[in-house]
Amino acid sequence: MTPLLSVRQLHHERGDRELFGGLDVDIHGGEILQVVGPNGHGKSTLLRILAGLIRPDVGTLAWRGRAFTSWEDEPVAPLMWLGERPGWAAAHSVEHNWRYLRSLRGLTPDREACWIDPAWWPRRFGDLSTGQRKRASLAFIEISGAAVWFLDEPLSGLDVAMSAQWQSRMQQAASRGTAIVLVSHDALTFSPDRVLTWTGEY
Amino acid sequence: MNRFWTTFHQWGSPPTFYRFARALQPWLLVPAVLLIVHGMYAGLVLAPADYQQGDGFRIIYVHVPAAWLSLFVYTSMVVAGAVALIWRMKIAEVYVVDAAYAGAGFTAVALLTGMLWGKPMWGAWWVWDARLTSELILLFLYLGVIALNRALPDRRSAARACAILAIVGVINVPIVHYSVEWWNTLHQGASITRFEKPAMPMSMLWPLLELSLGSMLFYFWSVLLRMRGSLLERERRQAWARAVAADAQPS
Amino acid sequence: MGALWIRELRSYWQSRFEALQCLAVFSVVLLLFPLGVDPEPELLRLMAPAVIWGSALLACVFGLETLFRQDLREGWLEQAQTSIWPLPLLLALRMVAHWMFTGVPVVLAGVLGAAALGMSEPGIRAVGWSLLLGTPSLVALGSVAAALTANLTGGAMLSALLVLPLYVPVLIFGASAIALAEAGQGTDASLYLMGCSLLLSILLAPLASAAALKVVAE
Repeated sequence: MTPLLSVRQLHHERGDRELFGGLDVDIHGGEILQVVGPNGHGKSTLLRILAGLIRPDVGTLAWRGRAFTSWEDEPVAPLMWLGERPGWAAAHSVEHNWRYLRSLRGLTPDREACWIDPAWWPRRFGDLSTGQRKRASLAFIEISGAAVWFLDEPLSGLDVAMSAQWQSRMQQAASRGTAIVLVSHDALTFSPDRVLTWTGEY
Repeated sequence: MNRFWTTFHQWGSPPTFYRFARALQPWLLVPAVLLIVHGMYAGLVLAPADYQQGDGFRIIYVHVPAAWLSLFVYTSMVVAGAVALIWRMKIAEVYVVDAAYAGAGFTAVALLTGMLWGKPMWGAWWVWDARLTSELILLFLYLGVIALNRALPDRRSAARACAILAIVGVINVPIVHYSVEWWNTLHQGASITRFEKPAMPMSMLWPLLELSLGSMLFYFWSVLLRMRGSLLERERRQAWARAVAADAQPS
Repeated sequence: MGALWIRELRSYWQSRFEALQCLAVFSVVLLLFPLGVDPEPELLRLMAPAVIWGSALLACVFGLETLFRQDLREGWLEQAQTSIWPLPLLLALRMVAHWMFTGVPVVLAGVLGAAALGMSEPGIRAVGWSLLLGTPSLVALGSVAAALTANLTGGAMLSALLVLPLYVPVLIFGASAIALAEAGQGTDASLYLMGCSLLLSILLAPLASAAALKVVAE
């Protein structure tokens, strides 16, 4: 089976430190891949490279076995990124943010039933609490229709109950064929399909 | 093709480049000094005085090479910047930043000598001549690159940002030059008179060519020296840089 | 596409008072020049092109800081990069919205200012046209500098240093259009040249800004 996303011979430096020297990664549909390792050794950088946010110094990325940016066959944007900063505008209402993010990804700009409390729609995103903001941005990921999710610390800021709920939601998405790559310090309640341990040492 | 890329990346690898630069430097410095010393002697002593400008014309022996190099260095920065952005070649990144200092220096020398020449010839230290004004703007472009490089925290992305700035600037330089010239034709009074130069005699031209070539070799020597320092600093954690540093220390 | 455009307008509408500070800076600088010299009508008319364009340049430079900073802080860039739209296109939308909220008021105020400086009717018309063609170029060129300094706290000074040398052609063409009109001559040449600068900057600035944002966000 062709992997959704594959990286070959990845070399990358940050500052004067070599983060990766010839790394190969394949990401298949339906699997949850957790990247673990100490801080400051490039876990987030790896995630960013895989999501196409950073161009690596050396190395090739392929999407379904073809050039990385050939999205023509994709109905909607296939890669979804959620980092420390979710990309929602604090000054806009949840609903306006929602519509904007949907149209960025090629979805029709509608509101819909999802993991968001309906009372939040008219509120400014910046007025929500940290946990509510996190939940809103995770809720958007769920409806994005993206084939691969890249999640940098998706559980931080969620309380225990919400964290458990989101983890079962991730598993459901994976069972529907979504690939999930995540960096997380929190212990997961399930065991991921694959763990990439990254020490950054050579 | 594959062999080409291997060579290309080898060239771009800091230790190889460092060794190459170190070996090349004497071959640049010796001819540069010889050319500059002989050119200065020929230009300042042997060449006849100009029948219009007297001995004042001799400042071109400093002014012209500096002005020429100020443009050459900027162009080379743009080429290196494109290489840095497209192939992420580390040497090119280092060059973009290090060349800016030398370029700013040459631009400043060209401006100062232009002013020194302008005082007796035009009767003023500064006139809004198209070439002088463009040169001044070029100086600000260099200063912008230097300031941007110093402001950004990460060395590599700072160098790439400088490359983008240099490329945007180079599209602008001809437009700036053209617009200033156009502005001059609108506003030019009688204060500026261009000297219609008769063909330069060979005894005047030769020193100029010698000095231009000598300055260029000197520029390459100095930029290599600076790049070697930058490379050592950037790669200070790498084994090769430590070995170089250990060699340099008196045992 | 429509929703993308609506969001840009909404952003600027929400911070419209901040955007109008550009207009305030323009007006204040315009006011300062006559106060600094003898307010003699002849002298003012002679200085008007430089005063108007100098004020416009400064106002535009002050406005640049708001272009991308909030976006980088909120993580917009990552969402834009993983979207189906090319980043330069999204940035071009931003530039147009920015110009509508900072540039257009300056154009209108410039026309009023020209009248206050006692310019003739062709002169006032030239002020309007040259600002209309010139201010979008200022925003487009400025966006590159804004992108290069978007990640810096207090990058406004640096971005002014980076961009002001690039503004020289716009300044020259714009001011000369006004001066020519005041002298009773044709302004077509200057305005055509401004139009060329505008086309060039509209085509290239979004590409350069996109590259710059990606580089500084790494």
